[in-house]
Amino acid sequence: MIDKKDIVIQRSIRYTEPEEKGIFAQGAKYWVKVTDDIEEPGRGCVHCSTCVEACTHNTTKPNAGHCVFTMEERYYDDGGHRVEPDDSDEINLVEKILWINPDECCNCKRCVKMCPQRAIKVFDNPDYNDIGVPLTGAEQINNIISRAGGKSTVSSAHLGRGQSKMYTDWLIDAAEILSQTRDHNNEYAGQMRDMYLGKRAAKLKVDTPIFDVHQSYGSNSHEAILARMMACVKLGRPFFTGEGFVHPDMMAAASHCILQFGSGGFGPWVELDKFAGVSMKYGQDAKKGKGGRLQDKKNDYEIALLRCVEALRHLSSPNPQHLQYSIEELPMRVESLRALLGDDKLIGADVYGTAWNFSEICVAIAKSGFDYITIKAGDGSTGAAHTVDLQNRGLNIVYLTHMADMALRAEGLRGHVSIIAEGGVMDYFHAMLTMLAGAEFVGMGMRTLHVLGCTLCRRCHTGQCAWGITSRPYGHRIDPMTASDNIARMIKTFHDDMEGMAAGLGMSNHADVIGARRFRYHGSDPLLFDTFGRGEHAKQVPVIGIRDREKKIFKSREVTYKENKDVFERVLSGIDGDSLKIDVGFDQIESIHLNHIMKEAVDRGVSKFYLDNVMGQRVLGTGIKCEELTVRGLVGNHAFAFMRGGKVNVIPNHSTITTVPANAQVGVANTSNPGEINIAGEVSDLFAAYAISGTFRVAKSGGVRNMLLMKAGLPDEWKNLNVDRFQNASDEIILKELTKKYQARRAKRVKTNWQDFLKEFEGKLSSRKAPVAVYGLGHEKGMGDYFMEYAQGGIGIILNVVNRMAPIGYYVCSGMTAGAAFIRGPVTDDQLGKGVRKIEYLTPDDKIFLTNHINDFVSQFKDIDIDKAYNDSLNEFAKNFADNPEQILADFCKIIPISSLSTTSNE
Amino acid sequence: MIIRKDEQSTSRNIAVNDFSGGELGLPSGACGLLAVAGDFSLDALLKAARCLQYRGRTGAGVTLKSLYKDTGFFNFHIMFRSEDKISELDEVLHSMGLRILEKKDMVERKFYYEYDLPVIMHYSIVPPSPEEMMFRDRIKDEAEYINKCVTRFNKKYIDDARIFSSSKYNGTFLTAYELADTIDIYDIHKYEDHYYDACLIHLRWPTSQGRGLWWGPQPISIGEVAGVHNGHLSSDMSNARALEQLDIQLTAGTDSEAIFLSVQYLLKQNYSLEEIEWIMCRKFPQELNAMTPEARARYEELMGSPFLYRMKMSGPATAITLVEDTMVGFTDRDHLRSFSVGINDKIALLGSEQRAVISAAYFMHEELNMFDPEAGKIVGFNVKDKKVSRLDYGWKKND
Repeated sequence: MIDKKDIVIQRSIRYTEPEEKGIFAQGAKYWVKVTDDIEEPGRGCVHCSTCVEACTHNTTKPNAGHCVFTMEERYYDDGGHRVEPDDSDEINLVEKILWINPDECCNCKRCVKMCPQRAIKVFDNPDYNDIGVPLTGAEQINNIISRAGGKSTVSSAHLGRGQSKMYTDWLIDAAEILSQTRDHNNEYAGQMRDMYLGKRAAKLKVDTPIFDVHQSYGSNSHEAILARMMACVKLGRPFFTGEGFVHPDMMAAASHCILQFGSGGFGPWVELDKFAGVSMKYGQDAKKGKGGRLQDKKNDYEIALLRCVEALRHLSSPNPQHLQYSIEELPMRVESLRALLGDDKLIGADVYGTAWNFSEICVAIAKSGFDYITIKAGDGSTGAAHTVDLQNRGLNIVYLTHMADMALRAEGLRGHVSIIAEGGVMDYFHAMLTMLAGAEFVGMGMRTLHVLGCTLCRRCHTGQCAWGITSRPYGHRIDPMTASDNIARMIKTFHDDMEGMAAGLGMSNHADVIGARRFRYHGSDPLLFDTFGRGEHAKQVPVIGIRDREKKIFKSREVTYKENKDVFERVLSGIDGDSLKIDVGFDQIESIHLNHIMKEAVDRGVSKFYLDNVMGQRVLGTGIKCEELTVRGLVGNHAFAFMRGGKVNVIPNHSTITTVPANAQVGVANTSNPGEINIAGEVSDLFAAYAISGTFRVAKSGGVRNMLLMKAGLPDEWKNLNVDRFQNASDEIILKELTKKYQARRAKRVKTNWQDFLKEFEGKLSSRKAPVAVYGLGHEKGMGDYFMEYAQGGIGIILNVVNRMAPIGYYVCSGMTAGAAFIRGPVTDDQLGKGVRKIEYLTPDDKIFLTNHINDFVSQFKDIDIDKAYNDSLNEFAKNFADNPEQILADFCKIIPISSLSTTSNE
Repeated sequence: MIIRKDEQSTSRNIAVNDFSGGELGLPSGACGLLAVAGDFSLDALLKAARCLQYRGRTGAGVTLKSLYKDTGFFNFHIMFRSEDKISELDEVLHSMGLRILEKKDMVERKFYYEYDLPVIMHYSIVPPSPEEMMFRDRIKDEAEYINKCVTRFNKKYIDDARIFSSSKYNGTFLTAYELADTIDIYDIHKYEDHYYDACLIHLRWPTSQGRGLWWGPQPISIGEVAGVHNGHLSSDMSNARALEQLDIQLTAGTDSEAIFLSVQYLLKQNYSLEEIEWIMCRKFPQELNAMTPEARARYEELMGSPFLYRMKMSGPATAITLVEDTMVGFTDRDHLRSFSVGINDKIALLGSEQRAVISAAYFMHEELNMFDPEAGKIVGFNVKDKKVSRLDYGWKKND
């Protein structure tokens, strides 16, 4: 357009003034210095705009479209007047100005790396950093100023406050005379290969003692996850997902993946038999109530589809509930997961080593039946947490590992559980120390991210990562194939050095290293001193509690079958085609046995079960693939968890003097995708928590926290997924498939911009069918508190067939981000939870929706003998609804979330 | 520290640190609670409680109300760390003015071969005369005097002995093992045909910290109060301080004990059941708006008391407390533990799972009216001479 040869181009570099000046220039932690050609001839800025492209950070105005760097072009005519760029004939002078806004700079150094002239330098701003006195320095003062602006200090990763104490004051014990030093290069020495994660029936073979850590799809970009996953496949180690499940494109590697179940319970929770295991995440100590949080802007359409939630809302992983974060529920969780996954899949527990009773917790976990414990320590990172929490969380990993190892040994459980230790492990030396203190494996998370470019600018939570690690729109800045090679190479050098060190100690393999407690610490840290400073540890713990070890562990299906073969076979002899009726005899068959019998029956072709005389047996239906399941009696804890498809009916038992009501205890139907579950009684706490899809009908009331974190439906792609062929495939085939799938994705991605790319997923969101739970309410009590707490989709309906004046408790739908509740009867504003509002009218669509569900509910329960008072109420309700539906519908209110789109970032 | 001492703990000579009520961690489960009042069969109840076995394996106990009602003296169940402490501590009881009428072994010798047991003895105790009690401690009431003595004894000699049952009427039986072991060790089935009109059963899953000999297993019982609790309170310090400043001493030192003693205190102070609920299971702030002005004023008056203010339970709890003829049960306001109740004309069953309650009814051949009390709602029963009646909200003990 501008082709006149005599145009003069004038270039300059200018700095924007901070919005608030002086000490309040909080953003300007760093100076961004761009040199011009006068200052450094030949190396000055050429105004090529590469930095403008490279920089992604704009925290204060995330939608502004510009970042630290902005290129402005001004056009002038002969007379020095500004003209439009279109008026090319008149243009005489073009002024190119590179604007720099250091307020936004986080020192990620992407611009420094990308600048072809090496003209950019970023360094600490002394005015920001050199204030205060030693005990109240820049960090404290700036935090206070930030809080005065209403912002608490959030960071994303890694404390880095000071030098890790693990680094100094160590003496390496390499006394050649006593322990002959060996050569790992040319001899069989120091070998750490062919190891197993898990020590019971479930085992995973691994080739390196250094693992990756749990980070979620969503917090990481697609490419960052893929690079890390491919590196894990290449290295022969498990890949730990975070709470974001696994992208369908990556399901070829499912057999290498261990799924994390956090308190958010995100994901479709299907195809679980394809994975290597499940890891339960305990302890959100660092996050105090808020739990983890994926910010709304990072929860884009694709993430929402994968996590089975609604898009563009904050995703919280809350902590206060007793399905997940109570240590008392540990064994029930394991029981439920074991029933789900069988004996040969790994079940792990991730715990922060913060509590005083860490040893007890480790022993509790081992006794509960977990296969491995991942110890998370201070110095490590967690998702966005307050800086102060991050900096003060956790003990150091060496000491924690030592504690766990000793406690497990004393209880005779060390031969049952593997330990993975992670948190602030800097290099192979730390890894080695941790293993010498008792860990089998060591996790390094942050080190892996450095390979992808991470410079610890600590803005992961903003989704603006310029390296494309934690920002999905820029993910393509990482090439997963080469990046995974780089990660693998890094780990291999660490691994090699560890083997060298082990050989140097005269050790020949992995087993020699674990818990050997060699090396000597002579520094000032009391915890490390306790571990390694007190001289040689006794070789054995004096007392070992193995006498009733057998009681402490779950028995495998094979063992229970062998031990109870007569009972099993007698029950199974009742198989009639594809049906089986089991008389549980109230207390005659215990929960796990019943589950194992049902699995055996499924293997023999049964798809319809009738369980009679049930009295609170747990884990009914979990891990059982069946079309129909009828239970007569009381349903125990964690029944129907993780169910997929099928129809469940629970009916009361009037066959003895004692009526056994068709009630359900705690945690029933959690994390499930059933066809439908009908309970002809009441349910206790946490019913249908985390449920992803399906219809749930409860004749009477529910306890507290029903439908907690309910999801928004199962996407179709999970229904049609077929990855069976990769289950036993070689690493090469898996890597090839991952590459192929990624190339197809990238081809689409490069043709369009990010927003348009996401459009494809937007359509799929609306084709999901949200879960629906319908409650009738009973005369005994109303619906408990925290109904649909944190729900992320799904519909709850309370029919109030008994016309209670107080149908529901408090904190209704608190923290709900999507979905809706329809409640019949009075609900005051006081009863509503945070972030929701009540609407008093129904739309025509609402009415049709409710009418259908009311009719289904009535026909489901009207012929069941629940109890006289309830049956009378239901009949009356049904009659009234048939006579005058509008009158019944008029009593409903609707509770919906106030849009979370307006929520501001916490930076 | 987690490394055990070198010496092996041996039966009849147990080191406190080695064996303070359970193992380091725990086997499967959370505490199981089952309680009953009225006319019932003990065997059936014990059978039903087995379904909670998966919940607790490091301690189990049973309290039988009115077991000793005809004895006319106080019945102490005492565990001694070792045999040679017995005579020394008998002297201590003497020095408190207590007369030991009779003492006998509670456990057959063979169990000392099977388990690491402390020496467990039954003492028949007669308190001093009213004049002597006044002289010694300015206490008139013998129950109160006994309470004081037991508290002092347990606190002072906790490393050597513990009086774990000290009622005139009730008997509490504890071990640090499973329920089945407890039943065997004390041969509890032999009481089937004895007189009793209420029972508390606890199966323990350790979460709390206490001190002394076998501090963990429940029911925790002092004098005429006994209680069972499932959960782990984060308000344990606050609750303990409230009692401390009222000069009510914890002896086992657990969060659970504070609940039972608070209930006892509040009943004794003649607070109504509703007021006890307000104090211990504190209402949500929003609920206050729905109260009548009078109720709200009373509520605020109660919360204004620095002692009552600190008795709120935070954190998971289902608790059942027996104070003389009154049995009350409740959960924390957040309902972090479940709680079920079944009632008919003959019995009232309270349990931490519906399963246990219905199982008990099934084995007793009873039909029940079942319900799960709403979060933080108190239920109370009076039981006397095998007759049970539900107490209403406004009921006060001394009215």
